[in-house]
Amino acid sequence: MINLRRFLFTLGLCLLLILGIGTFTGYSQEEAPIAAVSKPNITVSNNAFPSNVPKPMKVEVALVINNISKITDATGTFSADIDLRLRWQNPNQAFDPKNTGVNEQSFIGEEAIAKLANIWNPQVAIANLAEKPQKYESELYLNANGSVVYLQRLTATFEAKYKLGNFPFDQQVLPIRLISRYNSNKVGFWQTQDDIDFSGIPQEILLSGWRIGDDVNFLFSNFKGLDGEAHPQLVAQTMVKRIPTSHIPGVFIPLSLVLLVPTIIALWSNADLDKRISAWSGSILTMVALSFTISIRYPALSIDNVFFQVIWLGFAFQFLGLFINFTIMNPAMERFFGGKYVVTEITNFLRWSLPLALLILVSRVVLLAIQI
Amino acid sequence: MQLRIKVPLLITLVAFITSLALSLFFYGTALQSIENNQKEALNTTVTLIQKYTDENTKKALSRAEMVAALPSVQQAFRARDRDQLAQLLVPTFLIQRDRYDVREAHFHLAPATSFLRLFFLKKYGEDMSSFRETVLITNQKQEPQSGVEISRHGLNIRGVVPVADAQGPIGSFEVGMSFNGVLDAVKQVTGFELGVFIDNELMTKVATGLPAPESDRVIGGLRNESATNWSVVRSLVTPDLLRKVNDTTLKLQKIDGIDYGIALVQLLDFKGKKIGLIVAGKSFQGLTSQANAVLINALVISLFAVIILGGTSTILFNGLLMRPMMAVGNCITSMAIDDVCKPIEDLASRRDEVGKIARSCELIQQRLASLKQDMHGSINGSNGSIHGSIEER
Repeated sequence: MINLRRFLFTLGLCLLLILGIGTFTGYSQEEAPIAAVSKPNITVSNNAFPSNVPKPMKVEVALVINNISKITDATGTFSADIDLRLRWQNPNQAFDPKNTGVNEQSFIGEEAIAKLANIWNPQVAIANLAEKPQKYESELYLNANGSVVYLQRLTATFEAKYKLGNFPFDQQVLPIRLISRYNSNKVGFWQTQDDIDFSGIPQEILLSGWRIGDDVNFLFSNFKGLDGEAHPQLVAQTMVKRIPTSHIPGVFIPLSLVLLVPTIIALWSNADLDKRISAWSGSILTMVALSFTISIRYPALSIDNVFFQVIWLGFAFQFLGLFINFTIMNPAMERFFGGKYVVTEITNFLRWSLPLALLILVSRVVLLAIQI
Repeated sequence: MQLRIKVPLLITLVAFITSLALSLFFYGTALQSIENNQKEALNTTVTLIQKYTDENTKKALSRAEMVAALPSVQQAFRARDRDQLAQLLVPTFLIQRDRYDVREAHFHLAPATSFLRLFFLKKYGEDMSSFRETVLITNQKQEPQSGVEISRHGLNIRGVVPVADAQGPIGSFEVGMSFNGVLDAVKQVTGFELGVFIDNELMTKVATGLPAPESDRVIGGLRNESATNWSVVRSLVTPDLLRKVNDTTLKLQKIDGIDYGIALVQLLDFKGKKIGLIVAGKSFQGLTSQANAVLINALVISLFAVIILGGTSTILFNGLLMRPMMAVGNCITSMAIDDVCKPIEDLASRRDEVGKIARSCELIQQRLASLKQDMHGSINGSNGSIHGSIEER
């Protein structure tokens, strides 16, 4: 006969642990604050806005993502090498090629930054830089007709808001957000077909665990600045899809084993009630440990994630299994469930329907995650 | 097949077919609703293309009217003073060009002779009556004309107005607006990528001021004049598709495994004659995912319905009827082989039909037991009298 006190103590302990893990896994990734406009190495120019140009001045933007070296879910960041090309027309910078002997003046590196500080520029900054770029190169070209081309090559870490509900079947958007310090009445982002053609992402980029998208999309909008005015905003983004194969075995194999053993002992064998209850208790404790392990391994995952949904289904299965063993499959309770013939039939039904129902629900969670 | 298997199996099968039919019906309804949404999005895009085209036509016409009404412009035009007109209007035109998609501003003399192109000052004097009908009609009827027309410098949305002063008609003035404004505005609102395709033959014949197009920009006899994103628009169209369109066409099409919604709108010139197409396309993958999610949920619900219905029917049929009946049958069998004492357990206490049968069986059992007892008694009695007779003898 089962030692009821010992069992209740174990069950209580399990429930406390489950609640504890629940609170722990309820951790949600904090939204990263928007980086200050002045974060990049662009100094604010005192040069006035050119008076002889139509407003808003069109700043043509092209962006190439040369490489993505790291995507970190936990911190909500990614590291990438990008080329950013900004072009605008400033008649003040036009010059006579006869005087200079060249059609185009070029400035590279520090020279470019120094020159840019001395001429009007649209003060475009990357708003979602997580930290100072690890590598920064720049080139500035001034054409005789007044067109200015500013090229930047950055290796930097960018902030992103990852939605990890479908992890590991998720796809993420990697954004690079450009904003201008000038309001939308003065400066507007623009793209010509040439900018679209220039922009992109090489197909040969390889990032372990991820399949990289084949295009860079641009979303134009306005952004309300601290001054209360609308500033132009351009988000260049690419999609990346996670390869789930490395994450699935680590969760689904232990989970299957944790649930398989008590299912066999409690539903398919003729073991005594105390042995069946012990099997469920052991399974619950192991499930708590598994849940804890997943929380530690994937700290950025929130409670609505696929893994935790499956874990909760597992807990529900265990609870149901335990309940059935205590009630329907308990010989002492047989008469409450219509006698031995009905109980035999219910038991036969539950043997296959309970695992099947779990399988269907787990499949649903996975399929929905793959779909969305 | 035994009844305890056959009956639940049949019930399960019926439940399965019904649930599947219901699920597919609901999926079909959801799919229909999603398709309607997709078509609605395509229709909205078509409406917006037409609306923005009309809007730009009005803008072109109003700008032309405004310029034509300026006394200084009328004076300079009357005096055939190109320099004066250029001095008056070029700065304004440049702003209009850079900020408001105004591509052309052009003065003509009747019937349709180019007098001054503000966008190309050096080129004038050409007789355009063979291909510029808007100009011809404006000068003939002295009425404004507006709409889409191809000129030497390409396709534009045009507004042409007569210029006249107190002395009478002088000529006409037109403003031509780029289609880019329409495409960009529609893209901004709907997210669709758009492209304008014009009859290549017509463009080659009329728009001689334009360079020859790149070879990949001519598809199915139509030349791409402008696009919000050419690589996307290029992937949406095929020569067949462009050739076959004779009316506004909405299509849902899979391209590289992704569902796209494509709208093809006929581009009509100012007289209503078809000169090309406007193509708008967008990925509908998000809506397809929604439809798939509906299907997954519907299937899960139907599987649960089957499990629950099948299980319940099995439990009730076998637990309440078949197993007790088999127990009663076993009891009768045991009675037949003379084991009248085997109990029918608690079945006789049931108040239903099975209980009644069990009680009847119990009665037979009791009757048989008493008969057996009587028989034993008679046999014993007979044996006693036989013994007595033998002893007496």
